[in-house]
Parts: sequence; C-alpha cells; structure tokens
Amino acid sequence: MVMNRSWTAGMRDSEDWWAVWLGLVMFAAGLVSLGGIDLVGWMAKTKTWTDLGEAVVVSGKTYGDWNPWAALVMTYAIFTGLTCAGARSMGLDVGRFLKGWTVLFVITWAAWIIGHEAHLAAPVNKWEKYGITWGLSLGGGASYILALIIGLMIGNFFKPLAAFLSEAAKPEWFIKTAIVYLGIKVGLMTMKAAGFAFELALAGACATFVAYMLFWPIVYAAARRLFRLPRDWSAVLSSGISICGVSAAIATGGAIRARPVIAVMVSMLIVVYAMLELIVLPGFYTAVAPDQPIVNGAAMGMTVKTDGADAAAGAILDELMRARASLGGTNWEEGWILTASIMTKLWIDMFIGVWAFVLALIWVYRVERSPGQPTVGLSEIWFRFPKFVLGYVLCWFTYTGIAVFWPDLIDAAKVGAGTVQSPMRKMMFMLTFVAMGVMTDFSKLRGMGRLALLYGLALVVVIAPVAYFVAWLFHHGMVPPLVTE
Amino acid sequence: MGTEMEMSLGHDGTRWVARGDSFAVSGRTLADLDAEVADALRAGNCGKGAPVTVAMAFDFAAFPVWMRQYASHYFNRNVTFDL
Repeated sequence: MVMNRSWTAGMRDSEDWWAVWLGLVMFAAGLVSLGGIDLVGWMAKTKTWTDLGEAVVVSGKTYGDWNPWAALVMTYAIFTGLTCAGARSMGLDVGRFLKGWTVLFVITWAAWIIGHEAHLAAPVNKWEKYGITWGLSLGGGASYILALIIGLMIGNFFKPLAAFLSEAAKPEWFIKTAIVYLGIKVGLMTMKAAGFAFELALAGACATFVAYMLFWPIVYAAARRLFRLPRDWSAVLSSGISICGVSAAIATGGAIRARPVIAVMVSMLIVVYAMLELIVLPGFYTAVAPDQPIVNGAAMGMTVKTDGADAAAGAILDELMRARASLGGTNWEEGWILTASIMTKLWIDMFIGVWAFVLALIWVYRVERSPGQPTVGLSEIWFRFPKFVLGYVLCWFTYTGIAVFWPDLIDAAKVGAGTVQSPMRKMMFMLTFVAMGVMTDFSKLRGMGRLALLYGLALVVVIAPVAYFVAWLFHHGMVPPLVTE
Repeated sequence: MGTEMEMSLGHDGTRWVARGDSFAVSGRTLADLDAEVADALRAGNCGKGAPVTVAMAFDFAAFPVWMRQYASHYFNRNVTFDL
C-alpha cells in the first residue's frame, strides 16, 4: 500500500523523492572537487563528430587517459546501480526495470551520438572546422528530436516493446532528477549573471500567479457552461489543462474527493496533448518570435503540461533558438531559455499544493456542505509539494553561495559541477525524451470525445495565447547573456 | 477523550472502499461510506458511546503504475463519528 500519513511519507518509495536522492548523490560527488578530487569526471559525453570513433569523450580532465567507451560502460554501471536501487526502494520489479533500463540506455545513447553527427548538429560557423559544406545546424536539438521520434515510434507502432520498457520508462523521475542537476547550472549561471537570474525567477513567479488567476476560472467556466461537464470533471480538467498537467489533475481530484477514474481519464488526455505541444511549440515559437528567447521559454513553461514535456520542449527550444540566432551572428549562452521554461514551471508546481488546499476548502465548506463534514488538514499542502524542487533549490543556492562567500573556490567547484550539470543532466533529458515517447500512445485519444475537444479548444484559444501574452508582459526585452570566450 | 483509529481508503471503480484491521466496508459516495463505517463501528461496540475519529488515508496503489511518477498523494480525511 502507498499511503501518506507522516511528513516523511514517500521519502523511500516515491519517484519525487528519488529524484532528490539521485540528484543530491551526484551533487555531493561533484562538490568533492572543491577538495581537488574529481569524483564525477568518469562520465561519458558526446561531441559533434564526423568520425564515429570520436563521438564519445570523457568529461573530466583527470580521466583524460580513459578509453571513452570504457567511460560509457562506467556511466552505464553507475547509473544502473543508482536507478536500480531506486526501483527496488519504490517497489518496482527490479528484474524488469533492469532489462527495460538497459534498452532505454542503449537507445538514448544511440540517439545522442547520431544526433551529434556534424551535418545534423554543427552550427554554420563551425562547418569549416568539421570539413562540411551543408548541414541542419540543429545543435543538441537533433539528438532530442531523434530520441523523441524513436520513443514515439516504439510507443505507437511497437506496443509489445513499449510494454516491455514500461517498468523503466519513468520520464517524470528522469526529468525531476535532471532538474535537480539543472539547479547546479542555474547556480553557475547566477555566478555570472546574478541580477538576470533573480529577475528571471521573480518574473516567473509573477507570470505564474497571473496564469493561475486567469487560466483556471476561464477553463472551468467553459467546461461547465459550454460543455455541460459535471463539477468534479470540470475542476479536474481545468487544473490539468491550466496548471501542471497530471500532477495537478491528481491533486485536484484528491482535493475535491473525486473518483480516481476522473483523474486517470484526464491524465491520459494530458499526456497525449503534452506530447503534441512538445512537438509543435518549440519550432513554432522559434519561427514566429526568434528575437524573444526568454518570452518563448516562459510561455513554454506556462503552456506545456507535465514537467517532462515542458523541460523537453524547453530544451529543444533552447537549442533551436540559439542555432537560429547564431545564423545572424548572435551567440546566446546555453541554458537560459531552458531555465526560463523550467523556472516558470517550478513556480506553478510549487503552488499546486496551496491551490489544491484552497479547492479542498471550497469543496468541503461550500460545494458539498454537510453536517459532520471531514476536516481538511494543512498537511495536504506538504504532501502535494513537489519535493524535487528542494533538491533544485539546494543545488542552486549552494553554488550561488560558493560564488558569493568563497569566490576563490569557483574554479575548483566548476570541475565537478560542470560534469553534473552538463553531460549528466543532458543524459537524463535524453532518457526523458525516449521514455516519454514510449509511454505516449496517441490512440488513447479515441473515445475521449467532449473531453478531448474541450482540451484542444482550451489549449489553442485560451492557454497558449494568454500564456504568451503574460510571458511577454513579464519577460519582454530579456535576452540571455552572450557567450564570452 | 475519544477513540482514534486508522483505515485505508480506496476506490474499486464504482465504490469507495475503507479497510481497517478488522473490517472493510464500501459505499457509492463518501457519505454512504461514512454511514457504513459508523454502522460497523457501532456493531463492533467501538468507542463505547464516545466519539471515534477515523483517519482514512487514500491508498495510492489504486492509481495505474504509470501515473504514480507524477504524484504520490491523493487525499487523507479525518472523520469523527458520534456513536
């Protein structure tokens, strides 16, 4: 049984907490570089290549004499050990998880390596370096897109394989771990542009508040008045569409004591639509607003539901926008557009507990007033708080603290941090792309009728345009710092 | 001082189900379920006339496995019965 009674519930057996543990293990290992020891440099990573033998390299200079393919085996061994420990603790079938994880790992790395072939990835100004005369200049975006396509093909055309992989296909776990690693990157970025980072965080909070106040009431009213949906269906659907997807649908369903089947049906819809948003929006925003990188990122955070899809969309947007800008000679630093997308999303995630609590009060004391009614505990807010945010903030503030209080240690800190926040984070992103594709089955839209129609209409008519306007209001004019070499 | 007890709460697709150490009851709505719990408590002579507070924690295992990565909490409820 999986029940929450104490504030420590879930620490051993929930994906959310295990994202914190996986994140903090590598965060702690990375911090050891402050003492001059690189404990994470064994991590393999990809680089743009024309000769396949040079596609994989070792991250840390200390490990420079390692064979890169041996580093890849080491990477597999360490992450397999950690994820299997998590799977065991979460009560998953470890044997099935191990097999599925191994296949996911192989697919992930194959997509990552192929996507870094020079014709796909190299920016125009590097073509000469790689001896090529044409290319798509997609940067790291090629790998992400490829991973997504492979995952979607498995999820929709090779369903027995998708079922085989399902025990290990945990996009939310992978992306939450990646977001904890991203906290390190944000910490490093804050070292360079503290004002911009905090302005981004503040603007994201304001935008999120406005979005909550606008999206939910509009979608709820449409569900009730135009689509004549019952109160419980309307509330769960409104939260799913307006706030943070599946977790919001579950939180709202619980808050209003809805039958679980409502949250399940709405969640199936959210996962499919989130994938459609992920496929369409990064290219669309890049095409129509190439000069608004941070607005685009923040709009993505408010529009695309589920953390996995949002982070994935933000990562593709980051790559596409930077590749596009580089064509005009502007080279933005990597990660800021992605951070805009995720920071907005994290604010939304953090307030879901409070929002669900408010809904619970409204439901218990106004909608379903009855004598001897049960009480609503404040502990519900904590149970619904996304715990991985704690890991993200800890990583962020730790590295910012190092920069502020011990500036002499920055170079040493960057040795470990660089590996965790870049190749490790990107690998978790890649795993998310494949896993998300594997568990997205578009045929589930069949039979959803009014719900699917309402979702689509709300997305196109309300969420996407209002999100973009709100993002523009709070972020217009903001651009990432330029690369300085 | 009343009595306190814990039960797990679930849903089988059509009815809410509450399970305690010694009994399990179900109801189409939560109000129906509470009435069934009260009857079961009375039948078991629980509380002996004093109020009984039942802490019901939803068993998240009722959700499909693929959804559990998104959240791990549905809801808990404390209901006090004056028997």
